[in-house]
Amino acid sequence: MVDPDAAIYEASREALVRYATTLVGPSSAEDVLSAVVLRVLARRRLAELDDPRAYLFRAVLNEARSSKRGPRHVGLPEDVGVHMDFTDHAHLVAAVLRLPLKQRAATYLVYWVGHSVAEAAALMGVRQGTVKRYLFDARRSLRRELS
Amino acid sequence: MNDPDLFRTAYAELDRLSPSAPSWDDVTTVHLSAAPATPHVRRAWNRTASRPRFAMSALAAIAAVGVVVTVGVTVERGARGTSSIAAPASTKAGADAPYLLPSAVPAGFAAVPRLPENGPGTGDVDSTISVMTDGDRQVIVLAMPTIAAQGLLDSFPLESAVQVAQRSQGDAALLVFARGVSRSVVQELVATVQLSTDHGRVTMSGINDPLRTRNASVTAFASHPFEGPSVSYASPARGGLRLLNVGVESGTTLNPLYRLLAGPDNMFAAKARGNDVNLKHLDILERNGYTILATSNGDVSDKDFRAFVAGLHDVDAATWRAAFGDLLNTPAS
Repeated sequence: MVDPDAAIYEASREALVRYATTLVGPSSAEDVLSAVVLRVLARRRLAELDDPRAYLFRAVLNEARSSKRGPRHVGLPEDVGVHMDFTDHAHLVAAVLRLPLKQRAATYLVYWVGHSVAEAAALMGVRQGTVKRYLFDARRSLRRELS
Repeated sequence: MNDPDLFRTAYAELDRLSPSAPSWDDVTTVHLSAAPATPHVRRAWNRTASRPRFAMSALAAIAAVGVVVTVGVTVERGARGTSSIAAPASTKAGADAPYLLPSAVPAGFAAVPRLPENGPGTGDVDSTISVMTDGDRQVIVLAMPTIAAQGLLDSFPLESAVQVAQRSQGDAALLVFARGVSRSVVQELVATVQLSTDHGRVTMSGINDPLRTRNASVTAFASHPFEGPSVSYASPARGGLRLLNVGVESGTTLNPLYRLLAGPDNMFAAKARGNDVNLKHLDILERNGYTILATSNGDVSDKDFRAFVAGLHDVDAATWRAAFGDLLNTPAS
């Protein structure tokens, strides 16, 4: 019998690791995701949560914030910077990665994943208005960066 | 491009760099694992049990006794999508290899064909490995995919590897790396490890598949079912490798090592936890003729790590033997 928690995790894990990559970079994404799952499991079952997927997304964001504060964090944009030679849009990616974490999360969820503002708000654990503000600030900051 | 398109373009690039997500089993293996096999090791384990423990990915380290003469690590960035990482090591010196350790890689190495990359059903470590040889020695070239090379090198204790070698009376060796997956960044990092072959040819398998390795001397791998702090064991059919690891991690991290190194007679690695490539702790124990390298990447406290190491020190020869029994008695050919 499949563990319900495993099924929940498996259904979202690829999306979660991509989300984590956006937040902390590819080198730390797996660690963030692993830490999230184990942190959750230490307290409760995923299957007991009302919206475990949203819970996991929020947890990834929180873990990303924690890891960025940590002394051993391999931070952005440096850790992604080593990959920049291999992208066609290095300057653009670097500029996006300089955005604050929550702005990055909001723009990723809305502009890239395609969530609505309401859905992104649920995944981030904030109000819709907050997401809108993140999007506005991110657009403005990016324009400023690129100009 | 309008603003959202700019973001989409950037995130499309980032998506390409994204690693594969760890599987449920990977994440939970250690979390759900049983107690360690022996009271002493269990005691050491329990001292750190209140701390997060496990590591999907991260680093590993190896100390070896009586075998390896020199250690060299070269890290450089390779070109994505190419397979040219097996260039002679001597060409890696200079400005393009700022992390080259002095006198690490001798000239005259010739490239031999790369070992296979990740094949179907070969697990979750998506790495490449190359081998160079000058006839007497071989150089292992690892391309570790998802490590951000600069970030790694900022925190990676290459000097610790040297220290290991020195403390092992010039015998030993090295090191490592870490996390699997994502072909998109394969060859970001190339680590060249120079090993002597005094105890027979240094050999290694395709990093992903010990059972399908091209080298017969590392085909007979086995994972010993100790749990808790993971204990794994690799024994080549010949070649003298006896590699043991006691660690608090899923096994994913260190498995490549088991598949990588041959030559060192006895190795024992204890790993408290890894969550990034930063060796905060490193201690070497000598016990029962074995070199035991205890490592932690810093996610446990000094206190906990010392307690863990102290627990290992407490393990007497009889207990080691009770714990690992026939494994330690396996003669090195």
